[in-house]
Amino acid sequence: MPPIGGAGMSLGGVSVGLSDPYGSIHNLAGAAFLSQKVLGVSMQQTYLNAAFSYQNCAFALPAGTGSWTLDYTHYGNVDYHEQKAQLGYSIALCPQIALGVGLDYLQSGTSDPYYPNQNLVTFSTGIQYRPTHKLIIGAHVFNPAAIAMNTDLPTRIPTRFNVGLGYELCEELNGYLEVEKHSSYPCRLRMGVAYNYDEIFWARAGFATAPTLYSFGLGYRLNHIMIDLSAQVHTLVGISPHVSLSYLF
Amino acid sequence: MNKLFRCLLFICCLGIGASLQAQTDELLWQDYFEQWMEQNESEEIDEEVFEMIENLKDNPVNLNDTSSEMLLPLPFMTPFKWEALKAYIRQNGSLYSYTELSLVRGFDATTVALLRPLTIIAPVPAATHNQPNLKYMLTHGRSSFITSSRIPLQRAKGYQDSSYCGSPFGWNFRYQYRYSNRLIIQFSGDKDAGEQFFGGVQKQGFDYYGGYAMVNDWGIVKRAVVGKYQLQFGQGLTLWSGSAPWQMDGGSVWRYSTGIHSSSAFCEYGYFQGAAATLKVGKYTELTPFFSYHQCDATPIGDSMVTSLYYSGYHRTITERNKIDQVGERVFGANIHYQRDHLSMGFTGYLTHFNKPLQPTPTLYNYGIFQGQQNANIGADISYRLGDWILFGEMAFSHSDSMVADLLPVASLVGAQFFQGNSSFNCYYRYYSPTYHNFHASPLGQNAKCENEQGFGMNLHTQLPYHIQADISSDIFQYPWFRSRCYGPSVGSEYKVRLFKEVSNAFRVDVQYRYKASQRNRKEVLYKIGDTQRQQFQINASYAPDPSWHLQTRIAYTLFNEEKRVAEHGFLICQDLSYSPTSIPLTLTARYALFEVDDYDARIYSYENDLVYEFSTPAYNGQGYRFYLLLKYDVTEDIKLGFKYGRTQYFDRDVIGSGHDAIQSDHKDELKVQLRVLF
Repeated sequence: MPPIGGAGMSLGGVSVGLSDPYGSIHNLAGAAFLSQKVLGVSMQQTYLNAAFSYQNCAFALPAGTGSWTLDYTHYGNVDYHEQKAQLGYSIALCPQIALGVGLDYLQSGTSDPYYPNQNLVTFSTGIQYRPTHKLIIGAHVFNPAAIAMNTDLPTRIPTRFNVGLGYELCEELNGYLEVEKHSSYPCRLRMGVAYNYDEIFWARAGFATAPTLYSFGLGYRLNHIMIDLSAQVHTLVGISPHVSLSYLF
Repeated sequence: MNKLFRCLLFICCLGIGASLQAQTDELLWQDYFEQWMEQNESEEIDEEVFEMIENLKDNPVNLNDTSSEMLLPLPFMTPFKWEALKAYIRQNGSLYSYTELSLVRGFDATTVALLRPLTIIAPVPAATHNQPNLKYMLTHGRSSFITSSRIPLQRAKGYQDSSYCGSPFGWNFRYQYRYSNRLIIQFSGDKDAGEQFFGGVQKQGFDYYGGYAMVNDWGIVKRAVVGKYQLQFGQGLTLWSGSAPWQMDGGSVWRYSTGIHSSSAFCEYGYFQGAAATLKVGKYTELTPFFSYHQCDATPIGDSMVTSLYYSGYHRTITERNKIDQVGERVFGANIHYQRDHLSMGFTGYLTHFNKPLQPTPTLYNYGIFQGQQNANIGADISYRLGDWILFGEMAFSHSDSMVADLLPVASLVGAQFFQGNSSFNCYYRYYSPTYHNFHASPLGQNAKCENEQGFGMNLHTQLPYHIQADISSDIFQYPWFRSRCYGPSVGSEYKVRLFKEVSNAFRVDVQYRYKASQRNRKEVLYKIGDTQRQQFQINASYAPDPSWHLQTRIAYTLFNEEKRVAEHGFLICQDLSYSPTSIPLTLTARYALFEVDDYDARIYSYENDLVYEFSTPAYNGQGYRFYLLLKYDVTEDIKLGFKYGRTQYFDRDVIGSGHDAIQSDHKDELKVQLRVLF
């Protein structure tokens, strides 16, 4: 799964119930509630292996009752790599509900000239609603139409559907719960807890199932800059550190 | 309570009332339809139930001026709630708004939300002593015409190899004339996909035509009907045709019998056709004689016998067409009903005669099954209201040519029901002999047929702390004799827990857990039965912050276990969105659902919003996604259009369905269109 910012990665990988600026961009719908421009970058080295590393850059521009988002992710190395670029727009349908749609361009390639680059355009959509001032419920679908690559053996790009919530347990503590269904893998459960001190310092922990992953992280806000460090631990394969930096202006 | 206070209450609650209106009324009905499907393990919801609800939506009853016959058949209404409402109106005058219903004993938020689409609150019209004559009723009523078409976008195998004789389009129409609820005239036609139309054996056009004329409250005639109709008496053991109210969580187990009522416009079997009337023969007594004759579909053996009645209504292939009108069924009898204060008693007797003998193919589970041409049914029912309790029971007998000497053909039911405030409790015991024969019964229990079942059930509805409402039900049952897919006496049990909470007027969450254990033939060992368990967990969140927007998020999981087999799992994740702008008479509803179900035994049902008088209740099986978009638009107040596009995409197969319905594709698309005209 592409990274969704240090905050989400340290909470077991939750995404749809997040309200932090960087996480909201990846949620798609959540970006509609942003009031400032956001520019974020992140890096992850999965299992400490450069071949599985991610780099991401994201930008959100609030405009009227909605926001435009631009997101770019690179995965892998010169031997095998994948890229994803997304242009999204999210709009607040009413003060409590937001809807987002994104156009995704996917590309994969290898260093072997026998295997040509593959390109594909698909889309994703998300919805987020806030029934109470403490609760956020969200849903996000990537590639809902299950579009397939047009190759000799048509390969269907997986569809991923995430449904989850974020809840303010108290002023300093937030809980997150998410269910993810991937068309190629079993159902996955993600959950996490975040503690914040005065909205300046965060400590987070979480876990996910199928496969089992533990995660933890720290966040710090310095004026308009947010720094998030996190790590996910797979019991067999090892640790995946992640760092993200976002700037609000 | 004085009028000033009630007015202030009305004003203060106006804001809440607006949100309450935006609350998921439609979703609550959706939830109850899914319960019905789950309970009956069926993909086909009873058209009668659905049409009753849609008829009430089109012709809502005035809560300030209605009789119990209009509301008591609804599964969530009980005599206690009805009497509490009447007492409240008697004491305080007419209702002003729905928010006032929360002051009526037994009317919780769920009951109010379910009633809202089916009722109005209006002043009581001035009483008139003159009954309108027939000519007045025929010239001062209102007509409606509705026609729908179903258009599949992929061709099934049956159309490619011409096994299906007709076109793949389904089409139906219904014309109804109505003067209030006093006079109703209806005529309808239906063509299923694959059936011919104005050609072949269907030279008259549609495969099915039906209609009736019904009059209510005409002198001593409480109700009379000519044409197609249904009869419902007692608790369903002796005579109850058409839909049976399902055992709803928190609802009433005791049934309110309506006597004569209209039949669904498009139901092609299980109805009566002829004439029936309910006559007031005394202050407390009603007599209902009835007669019916119509040709039924059946599987023939030569020209002189049939093996079984055919209940699908499809006439697409030559084999299905050969079953058309193979046997004539004649039914005549009567019911006498006495009701005074808290006591209600009924006695029903009737004879069913076929003009050809039924000779079913002998099988292990057919011992004692009906054979022959004639069957007589007789039964008595009683119910008594004692304070907050209703005690009820029914006993019925059958007599036919194929009686088995060692087993008394009896069906019996006893039960009790208790209501107080927002809490209710039901318990009941039933015994249906394997040799009890009845072609027109709808009993309470696990089976659709009133035979070969014995069991004890209970359910409880109450309010827990933190305003959480709980429904808990249990049913322990056994089948004394063999049955289909189970070659031996078997036992089973079912438990259900449902918790729901209205976090706010716009936000509702409910969690359900259901467990069912039963027995059936084992696949790997012949004539040996094994245990099965099915568990289902489901969580729903629904949110409607204003009348324009409505969302529902759902996650469902099922687990099916059977002896000596690997467990099967089913998973569904689903998001609904509905938009109704206040400035345009338009409603848009969309759903996206991703599912992964290992096998049919772990299937998950999910009711879908559909066009008026259409319904869609797919059982998700396999792996893939389901998407639909529904659009309803009021061109004018009297002309309404509807469109629905649906797609089911599978990830795990290239052929959908089997036999004549097999589609050589990994996806299935369908378009439905509808036109409604009121004049």
